[in-house]
Amino acid sequence: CFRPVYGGGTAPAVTSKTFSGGGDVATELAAVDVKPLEGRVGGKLRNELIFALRGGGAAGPTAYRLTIRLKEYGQSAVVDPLADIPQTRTISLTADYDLTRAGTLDPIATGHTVATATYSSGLQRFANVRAERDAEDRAAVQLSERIRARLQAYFATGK
Amino acid sequence: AEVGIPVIDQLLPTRPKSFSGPHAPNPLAPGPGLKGKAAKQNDPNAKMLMEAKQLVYDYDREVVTAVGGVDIYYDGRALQADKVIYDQKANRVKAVGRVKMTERTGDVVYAESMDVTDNFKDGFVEPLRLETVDRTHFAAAKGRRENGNVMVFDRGVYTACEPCRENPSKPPLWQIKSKRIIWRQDEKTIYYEDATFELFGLPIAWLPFFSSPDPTVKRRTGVLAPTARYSGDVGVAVETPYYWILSPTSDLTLAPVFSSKQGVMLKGEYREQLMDGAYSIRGAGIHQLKTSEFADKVPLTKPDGSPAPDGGLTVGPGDKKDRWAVSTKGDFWINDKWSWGWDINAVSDKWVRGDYNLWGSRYDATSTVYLAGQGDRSWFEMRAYSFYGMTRYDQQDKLPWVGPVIDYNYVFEDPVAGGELAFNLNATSVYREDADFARYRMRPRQDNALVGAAGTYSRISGDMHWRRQFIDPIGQVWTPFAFMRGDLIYTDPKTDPRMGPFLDARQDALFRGMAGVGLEYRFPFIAESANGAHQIEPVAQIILRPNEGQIGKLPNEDAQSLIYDDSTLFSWNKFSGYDRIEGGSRANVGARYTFTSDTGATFSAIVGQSYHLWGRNSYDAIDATRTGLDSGLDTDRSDYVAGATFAPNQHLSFGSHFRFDEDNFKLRSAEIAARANFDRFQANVIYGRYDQQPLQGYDSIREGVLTGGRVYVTPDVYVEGGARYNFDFKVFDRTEVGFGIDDIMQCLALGFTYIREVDNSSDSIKLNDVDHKFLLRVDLRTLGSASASTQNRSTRDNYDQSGF
Amino acid sequence: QQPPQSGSVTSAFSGFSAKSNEPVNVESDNLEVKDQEQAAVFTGSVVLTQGASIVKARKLTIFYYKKGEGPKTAQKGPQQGETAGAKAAPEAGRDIRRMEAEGDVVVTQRNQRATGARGTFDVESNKVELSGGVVVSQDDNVIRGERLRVDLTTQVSRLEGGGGSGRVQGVFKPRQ
Repeated sequence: CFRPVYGGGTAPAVTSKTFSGGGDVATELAAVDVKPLEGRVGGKLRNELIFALRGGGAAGPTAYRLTIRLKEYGQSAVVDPLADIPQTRTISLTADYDLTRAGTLDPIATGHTVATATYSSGLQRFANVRAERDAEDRAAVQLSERIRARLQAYFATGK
Repeated sequence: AEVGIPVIDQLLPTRPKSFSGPHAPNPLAPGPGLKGKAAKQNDPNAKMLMEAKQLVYDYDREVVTAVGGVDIYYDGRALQADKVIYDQKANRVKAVGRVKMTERTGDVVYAESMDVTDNFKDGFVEPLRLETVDRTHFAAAKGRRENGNVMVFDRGVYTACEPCRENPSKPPLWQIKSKRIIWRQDEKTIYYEDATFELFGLPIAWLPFFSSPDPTVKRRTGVLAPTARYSGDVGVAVETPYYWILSPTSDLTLAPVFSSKQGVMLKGEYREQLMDGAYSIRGAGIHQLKTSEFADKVPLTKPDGSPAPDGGLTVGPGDKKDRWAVSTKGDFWINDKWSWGWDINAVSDKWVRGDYNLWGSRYDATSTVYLAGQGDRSWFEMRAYSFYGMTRYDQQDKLPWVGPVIDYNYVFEDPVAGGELAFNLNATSVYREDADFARYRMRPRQDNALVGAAGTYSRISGDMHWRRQFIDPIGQVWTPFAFMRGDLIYTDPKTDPRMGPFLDARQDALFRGMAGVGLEYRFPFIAESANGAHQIEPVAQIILRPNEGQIGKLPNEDAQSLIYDDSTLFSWNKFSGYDRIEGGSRANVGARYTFTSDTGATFSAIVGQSYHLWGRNSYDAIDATRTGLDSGLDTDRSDYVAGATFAPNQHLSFGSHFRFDEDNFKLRSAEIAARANFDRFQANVIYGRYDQQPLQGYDSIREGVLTGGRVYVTPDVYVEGGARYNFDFKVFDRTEVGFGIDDIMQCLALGFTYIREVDNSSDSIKLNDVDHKFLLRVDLRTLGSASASTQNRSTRDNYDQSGF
Repeated sequence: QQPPQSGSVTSAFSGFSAKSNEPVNVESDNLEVKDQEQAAVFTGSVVLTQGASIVKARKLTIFYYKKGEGPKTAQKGPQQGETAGAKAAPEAGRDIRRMEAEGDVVVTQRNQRATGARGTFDVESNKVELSGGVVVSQDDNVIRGERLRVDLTTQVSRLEGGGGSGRVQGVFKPRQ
């Protein structure tokens, strides 16, 4: 049944349940080093993920490495046929990532996740450019939350 | 994509390339370099190793005869035959019976008899069959080899097709039969004399004399395969590109286009690669012969003289004789962190790219110059833009000059007071000649959103935030945060009565500040299951903040779009740009469910609502672009938002967002996007439905669906189709159907595409003009690819487009 | 008559053809004469020279015609020259009918050299046969096989691989 991810709580057994024994889920998460990602969206995802994993704390000794492969697609569902200009545009980011123990090569956990964000667009091209930038950021934030959830699950259950 | 401008994307997912004949390769790719196959000079003191069942030596005539499975290796070549007579005095080697000679390059010659000099440089081969290492085939009744690098095939046949296994005598898919084929390996060119091109065994073309680069050539000066096109206004246009290598790092492609109606257009592209980057310059220009062909573009007045209903539209090229398009693009690395570049486009009129099938988007000819740098936790980007709209509703003076736009995002690596400190800077300066208002069905209306303020508007914004996460013993996660922001704004709108109700029409310089504190609370629970883990996480957020200032006084350039869904639920400022900032105290509440499997699949769902607590609800306020109104946030209790995503593996992904009315649960907006990307099956579908926002020009529900898919029926044959439907206009504005065969017998690729799309470049302002495009593409491996397309327009009378 | 100077492989054996009438001189550690077989057996680093051709072997057996009989061919065949170092050596001048050499047989003449395990030189049929890992070399040309048959009248030599699948190998230097 359900129990708090971050240990604590009434059941003392919970604290020792963390997969790697020793430290609890939070310290394990803080020991994950996210490999740098190229490009603005990659940098934004990495920054958000680092806060999600370390909660703002200092970078502890690295015990795990997280490699993320990021892909971005753009598509418009609603296009005004008169001017053939998209009225909405959806940015979707997909991330395939591998968690490896530091110093080893074979992944101990993998994950695939996706995030989409939509913005309105019209004839004003500058507004479109800035709206697309914001949509990319929103999608990156969603991705960071889902990747954290996956790592939380791994460190809490070992699977 | 063109510089972040939403380009109209293809309906169909991109197709993995089949094979590509020698076309103008991209010199930006790493230098060709002589691959190992270069024929090295002959080694003067090479020895000939001979091996056989029996060796007979005749002293008088000094002839060695090897009999029985003879193998000869000499200077990198290997010769096998039943019998070989080596006359040392005459330096001749004569091989008889199942002769097979493998060249240094890997090419293999088969023959019945071969009589060559002992250094294999000159000689006769009968009959000759040659298979090159690039899987191309020559055959001839009689072949000659001259000084080691010229092969002459009398009554020769050349093809790149694999012989059909079951019955090799069947003619290959395509072949070139000619009186004589001369392959000059030193020039890397194959010359054909009196050649006929046969496709499927049928003689298609007779070519008195022509030459093609030999298969080993990756990048070579020479004529590229022509393409042909037919369209009503230009007639038949044949483009014959000539590719010219100027240096190992630069090349020039000149492509005259001979058109039946408009004369000759000269197209050219120069590309150069430097140590730290690459740039290219492209141009095309024509002096039209029959300009009247283009007169059917949007006229200013109706035939009876009264102004056309859409008089505001710019007239088509009309009587413009000289039409041209120029583009230059460059990207350079300053060091491993910084890069700069430009992408500048200019066109003579909106329709030249569409009319002459030129490169680039049909919708914008945007120019930009940029400088960008990426640090470990930071990003810097400085850009300038000049926009040129090319749809029939674009008017250039309504599009802004923007420059500079500076973005600097920085996160401190080391914690400050135990938490993360980060700051962002943005500077934007916009000048626009004429005001632009939101339109409904492309008709400008004065009474709602001023999407483009005329005049000058400059803003410098800086914001800083701090956040820190605490976990209490029972597993609750508390994240206090604080942020502050300041905007220095200078606005100098033009005196234009129409802009009156939208902003303060006087020049002004002002400051807008914002600061806030907040707390985010999460309590994640987890339950293990057989092959994964379920997590449930209630999330609550409260933000205390003063009201937003200067609402309704300023233009809104970069925060016009506001789509409220689960992706914006927990952001502290739900506006999409710096021109607006969320004010007033607000609480965001939601619950998140995530299932993660040990194979890596992720399913996540979220549902939530946002509450405006105190102060002024920024989303209920009227600003220049009416952003926020009817967005679902403009009531104290916002609409309910929900979202779900599912990614079982790296091939499939599914994402969705929904918004329901907070009182009657009526669907306000829905969005579903799915994508499949397998080797033999690629597909994507996206459906969007967004409620009316009349004050922003959306009087009716924006609803549309786009689907595209391709199935590889066999590893080589694919069928593809795509369509886009707009529910408001009830029209398939673009459908595309096609099929293709890659790699038939590894030598032929065919592709056929039919595109039917609503024509929006002609004078019709209704939707009853439809373009039909037929595109045929033929790739002949090692020869090149040719394509032909025709386009015609049909008019549907039964289409009653009400509301015009 | 001089053997052809063109330096082809088999001229190494021309010295023993019936046409040459130069004397055959043999040196060896010891000699055993078998009168009833009209044969002399030289053993122990035997060196036989005739004109420019030299044959070395561990054991060489020379068979002579009976006194008074000579080679059927009209011409004079090779006669026995001096034999150094052996006591009861056959007298010089007797006609040789056949020679058999065994053990590291090496036949050389100027720049040609042939080696093998066993060799027979049959004056009657004017043929030479060398077998057992035969290697023939001359300047840069080297051929290797199992059995070499040389016909001194037709000047044709045939080198074969051993057994069914045995292969013959030859390395030649084409003249540019």
